[in-house]
Amino acid sequence: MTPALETLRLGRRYGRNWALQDCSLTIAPGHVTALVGPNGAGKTTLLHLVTGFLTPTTGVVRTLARVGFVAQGQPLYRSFTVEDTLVMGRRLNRTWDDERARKRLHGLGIPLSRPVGRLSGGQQAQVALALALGRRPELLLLDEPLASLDPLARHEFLRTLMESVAEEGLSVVLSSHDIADLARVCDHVVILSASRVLLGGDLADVLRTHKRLTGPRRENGRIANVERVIEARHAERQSTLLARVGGPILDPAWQVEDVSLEGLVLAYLALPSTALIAQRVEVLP
Amino acid sequence: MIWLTWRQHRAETLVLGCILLTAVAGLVLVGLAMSHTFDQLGLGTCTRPASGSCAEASSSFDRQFAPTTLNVTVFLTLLPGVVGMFVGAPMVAREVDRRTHWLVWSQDVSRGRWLLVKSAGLLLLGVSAVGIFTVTLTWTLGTVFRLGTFSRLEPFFFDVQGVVPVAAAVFALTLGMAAGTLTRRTLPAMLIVIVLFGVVRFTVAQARFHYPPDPVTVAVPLSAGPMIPAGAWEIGFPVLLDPQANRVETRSPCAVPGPVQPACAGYRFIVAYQPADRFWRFQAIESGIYVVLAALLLALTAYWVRRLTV
Repeated sequence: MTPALETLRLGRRYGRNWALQDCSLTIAPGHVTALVGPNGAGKTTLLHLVTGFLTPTTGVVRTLARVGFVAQGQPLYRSFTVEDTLVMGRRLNRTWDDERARKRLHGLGIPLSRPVGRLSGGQQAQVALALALGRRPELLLLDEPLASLDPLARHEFLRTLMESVAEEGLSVVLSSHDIADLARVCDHVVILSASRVLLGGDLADVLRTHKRLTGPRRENGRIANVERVIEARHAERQSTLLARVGGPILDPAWQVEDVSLEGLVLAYLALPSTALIAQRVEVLP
Repeated sequence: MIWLTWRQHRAETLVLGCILLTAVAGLVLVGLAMSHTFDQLGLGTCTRPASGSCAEASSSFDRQFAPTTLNVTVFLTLLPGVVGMFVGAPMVAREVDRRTHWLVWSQDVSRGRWLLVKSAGLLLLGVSAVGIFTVTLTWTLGTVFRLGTFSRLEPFFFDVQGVVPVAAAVFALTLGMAAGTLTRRTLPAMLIVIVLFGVVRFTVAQARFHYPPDPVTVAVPLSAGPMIPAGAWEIGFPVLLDPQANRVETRSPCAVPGPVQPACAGYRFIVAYQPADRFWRFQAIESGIYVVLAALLLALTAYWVRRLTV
């Protein structure tokens, strides 16, 4: 299967600072990938490299797909009516599904005759999404689509998005500095921090291979099947570890629990920068 | 893309159109009044230099219309700069201010095509506005030049006629586009436009004294009538020479206008001027300067737009 997006040792430097480095990703079509990381981690840089707004300093990006993009803050021409915005979409694009865009906005009860600037934040986000989807992209990139929305608008936005994913089978990459919103909708995750990819893969795989271990205090020494300790907390008599495991933990001294995506992301982002070793990341089904 | 350009700028077009309509109507009224007064004062039969009743009529005409003429010419001298500020500077800067450049550049339109259509549309808008105003003003000022006392080459008059105002508008617009792309902020870009436009227009107006070919220099005896031909542009001040070709200071009794005293026989003025028929040659030189500057600025804009990454 041709990947929807593939990057190889991708990097971008501004002056002496790397905004993104050594980023190798493969994203198979039909998936929703969450791009998670703190502000300044390189999420926007990565998305702009994929859209072609930026040229890479190193490495390559390959997208065979038709790429759609919704920039941070969902910019729109505020003086345009919703109708004008759709006309713009039709006139500026080779491929445009007018009927579907109209039906989508109609279904949400957004009046086409109203200026975009007088719509609510949630409605503006829906118009931006309708414009991006109207282009019939095969890969849709959304930069912090939920940042400015209230919880109800987030829910509505994600619902519209997931309906389109289900109907049209498009691939989506959406970035966020807050994973909680995306945990419900994504099936793949990429964690970025300080310009590097820390972790990437199928969400179920990632959750299966990361466990929280609680047991007697132990600061050193190996535990069978633990590949890497991501986070370790030591109390007086007890240690709590978040670790990547290669198989079942059979040592009865350790109590093994599943981790939430949120807990996992936080643990990865808390890693000291010296531990940030680039790795080839496969995000394949 | 043409539709988008029109949709984005139709408000500016309407505002500019309204201002222009009012201005053109005002200019036509002033022009009609001028030509009516000219005929009424019987100025058509006067010769140069005006004397007696003709001199009176001429100065009466001046008193009546000089303030309006001055206001209108100053307005048209500044109009290209204002168009550059309000139409040119926001072209890229306002898009970046509002992040909408990422919206429009993520459609199936390349940045190059976007810039081409947008800049062409805005140049057309600015050129039409300034062009219509210039044509009307040229017609209005026609009566003024029938007096023969003013030259179409003189500063202010030269700046508001022919193709120079339009070329200056093209320059101001591209200056706005380049400043807006470089600063990526609308207000600083507008400030840069008005300051640089003022500096460049002033500098070019100074350079006009040195446009080729060199001014015609003639020796005029004191008794002769007008020192320079009708409609010519006098460069510098006349120099008074005695019969031995020594410079005479201007306070000399011989420099006083009026009947020539016997003691002043053989004295003559040396006068330099640009003849009226060099008007279009000078217009071409000056427009050429603005168009070359505009081409450079447009190339810079294209380069910076291509490299815009934020």
